[in-house]
Amino acid sequence: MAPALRLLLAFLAIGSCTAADHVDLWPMPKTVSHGTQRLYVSNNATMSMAGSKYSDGKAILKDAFQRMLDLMKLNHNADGANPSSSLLTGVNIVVLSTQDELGFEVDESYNLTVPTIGEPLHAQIEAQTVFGALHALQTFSQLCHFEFTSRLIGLNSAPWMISDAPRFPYRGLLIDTSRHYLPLATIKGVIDAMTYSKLNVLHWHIVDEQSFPIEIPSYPKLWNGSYSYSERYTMPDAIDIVRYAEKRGVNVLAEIDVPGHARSWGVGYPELWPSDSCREPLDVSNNFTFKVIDGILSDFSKVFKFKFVHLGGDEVNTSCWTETPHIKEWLNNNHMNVSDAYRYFVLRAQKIAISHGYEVINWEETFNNFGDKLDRKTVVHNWYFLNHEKGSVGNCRIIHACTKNQ
Amino acid sequence: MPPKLLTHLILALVAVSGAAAARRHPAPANFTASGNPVYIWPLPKNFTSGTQTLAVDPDLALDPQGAGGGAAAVAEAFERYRHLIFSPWAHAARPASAGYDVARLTVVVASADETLELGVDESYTIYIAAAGGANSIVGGATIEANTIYGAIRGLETFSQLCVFNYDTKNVEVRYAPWYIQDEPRFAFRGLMLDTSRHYLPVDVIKQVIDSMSFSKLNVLHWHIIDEQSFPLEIPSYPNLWKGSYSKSERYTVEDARYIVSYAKKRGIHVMAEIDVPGHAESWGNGYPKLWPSLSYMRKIFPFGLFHLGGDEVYTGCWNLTPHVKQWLDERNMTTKDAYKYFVLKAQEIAIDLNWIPVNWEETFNSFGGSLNPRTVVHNWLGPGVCPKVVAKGLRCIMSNQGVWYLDHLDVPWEQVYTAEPLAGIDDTAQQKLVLGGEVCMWGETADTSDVQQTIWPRAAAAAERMWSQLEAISAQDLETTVLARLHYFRCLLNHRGIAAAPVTNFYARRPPIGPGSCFVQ
Repeated sequence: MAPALRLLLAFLAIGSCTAADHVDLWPMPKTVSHGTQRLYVSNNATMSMAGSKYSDGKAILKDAFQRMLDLMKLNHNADGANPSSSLLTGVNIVVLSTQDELGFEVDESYNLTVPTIGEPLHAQIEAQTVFGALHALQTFSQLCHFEFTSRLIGLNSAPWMISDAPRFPYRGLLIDTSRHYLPLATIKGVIDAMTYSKLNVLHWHIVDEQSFPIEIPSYPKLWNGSYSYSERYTMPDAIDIVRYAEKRGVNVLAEIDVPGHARSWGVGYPELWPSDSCREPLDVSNNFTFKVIDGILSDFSKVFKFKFVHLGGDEVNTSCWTETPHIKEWLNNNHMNVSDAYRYFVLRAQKIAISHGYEVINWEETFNNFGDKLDRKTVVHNWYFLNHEKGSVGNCRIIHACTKNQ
Repeated sequence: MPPKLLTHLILALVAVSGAAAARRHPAPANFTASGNPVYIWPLPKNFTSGTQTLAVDPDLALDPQGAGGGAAAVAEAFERYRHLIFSPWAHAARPASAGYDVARLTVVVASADETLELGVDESYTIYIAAAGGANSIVGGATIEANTIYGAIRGLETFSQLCVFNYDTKNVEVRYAPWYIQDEPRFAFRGLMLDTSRHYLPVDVIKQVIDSMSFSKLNVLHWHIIDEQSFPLEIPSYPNLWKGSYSKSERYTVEDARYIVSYAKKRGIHVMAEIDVPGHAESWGNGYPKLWPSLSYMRKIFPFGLFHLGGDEVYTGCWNLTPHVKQWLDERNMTTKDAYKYFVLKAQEIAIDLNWIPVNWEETFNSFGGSLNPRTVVHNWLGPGVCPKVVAKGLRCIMSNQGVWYLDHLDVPWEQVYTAEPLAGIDDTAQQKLVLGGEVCMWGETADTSDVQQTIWPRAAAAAERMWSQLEAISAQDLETTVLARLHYFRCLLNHRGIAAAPVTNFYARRPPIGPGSCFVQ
């Protein structure tokens, strides 16, 4: 009987086992079916790419496969004697597209099959892009476990047929390195953990009131606002993080929150403060403020390649604008009240970001206050209201986040 | 002292004497010549420093010398420390415009003997200076030690002297030239891990071992088994590990061997504990008749000391169980006699296997006079025990639960730091019987998710108490100097991937109360 037909019959026989029962995969794939057989993964499991259009020039898959093997063993010696049957010799990965640039809405789908018939027996991954294949390897690693009695890596409930794709293209985690500096190793640990649960956007809230830890070559005194001499990220550090994440299919969204949440900027450049006694938000009347924003975004554009940049715009308390004489004068001269000025600031910052090739994400207050004036491609980042009560977002895209107060 | 070391010592003293005469004597405890606290933890025994800043070459090369310099353990340790010193800044580093002052680290190890035993020589000297300066004869950096383990301690200190400069983008050594001569006050500086109340994956144990080496702790007391779970494989009694919490919360024999070998590379002993006769409920899951296969364990755990437990023995079950009561009656034993009988029998078995038995203090409190004279008594119940133990001629390890039980979250770092193993012991001969001490990370309320932030930074406070000289650490002002240095060390631990908790919270392992710098929280 032709192997394909045999395979088909095997699957039909098992067909009734669906994901209704206890499946230890997280997150749950789109469709899962499995059987009842136990297989083992060879000590010398290998990765092949027969039939693949993608050649893995950047070793994305090769390195991921090695990481996966290490994860499966988790420091134990898998040195039991390989059984003569039911032994998976490796994984064959077919990637249909040669594209290996990570980007928003890249195809992350994959099919993973672990058959019980085949000579040699191997798992098969098919994905449109290398990033789908990475997810497939994660899922495969969750099917495997170290067996203490046999000292082999076991894989239960075969054969498996998994077809998976994410429901949403943006599945993010925000880290805040301004309130507390996080060493690079910690950030990389977070990225690794994100891949285990298939999260794919690291939203790096780098700077805020309390500290400015990142190097900005265009304005080198900005990082004088770091907590201390050593609680800093150089530009090469940032590049390192982006590369580390990219290799794992994780996008890095940089945030530079303006005009509020920016008190730390003035440590290096006090002219950015409305006054020495009133230090937030950034001085809207000063052209220098926007020059600095331009410098920051220009430096970012060389490092952060995700198509979006986050410009913040939340929790803007404008009293320092009305209380500082030169700003009050500027408002009068320009026939603006503080709400106009807030809107002016956000929109001007948006334009700067767009000029550097970015699309913009803003926190929801910007939408709540002047949603119809925002750039039409703006993504609104909800954080405050649990239900989208505040009117329709119209044509704006939206990301849902937890409320900050939780 | 090997002749080469003596020569260097003389040369170093001659070299430094050209500078301000005040610096000929060891600097005031933990201050550099310029008056800054010395950010080395634990504080070395003797040191002098200067005012120069030296640039260190990221391609720092190892120059191994002496009979032991070529040991694989030295080369591996050098690689680990090179990674710690340079890798976080590998991408940012810019070539030094004026060249590097330190391009080579010479490591001289006098002895090729790699035996790791309690009391092995852990002393070392470090000399760092720029070449060709008016005050120096030799340029570069040199570590000298009698054993490879002293060299490993020296490498740790060296790594703490190297700091990344965010302006010049180079790794530097400040306050050079440095001359450091160091050795520990106590030979036994332990941390206890409890893998019975919660299983800790091998990776977590490895990370704990790494963090121990950063503060020069040198004994991992592995409390493997207790009432709640039996996670270790005992090949001759393969049903015992059915007492594990689950099929995956287990250690194979290879895991145990691997941990011992991983620790040895860092000069850390692993002292295993099989707590008998109490704390052994989990054994009943596998075998009704209980006796450990200690001879098998002897091959896995080469450390000279083996912990036999013997604490908190509630003998009620012995009286209530008919066949045990019958056994007691036949021998005219009370349950107290039986407890003694059990402990002493276990001791005999251990001694036959060439182990020195360590027992918790109840054994001493109940029948101290009958304990084998080789016994090391492990104090834990409270203060004032070691004085009684050493007065009887037995050796002692201090773990007074009031100060050195890490699961007691309400013991702030100051109390950990000021606990003194020799308190109440004035006789110098008796003082020698105190091997050292141990901080205990009991696992009832600590698991993988929070074990490291419970251990650190308080274990570091105890680590300095056990390593550094009494006079020097007593001379420091706790809330200014020591705190500043401990803050610095905590930030260093964080930077090395160890989740050390904020220093100044009253309760251990609490999160920071608000935003702030590592150096002040």
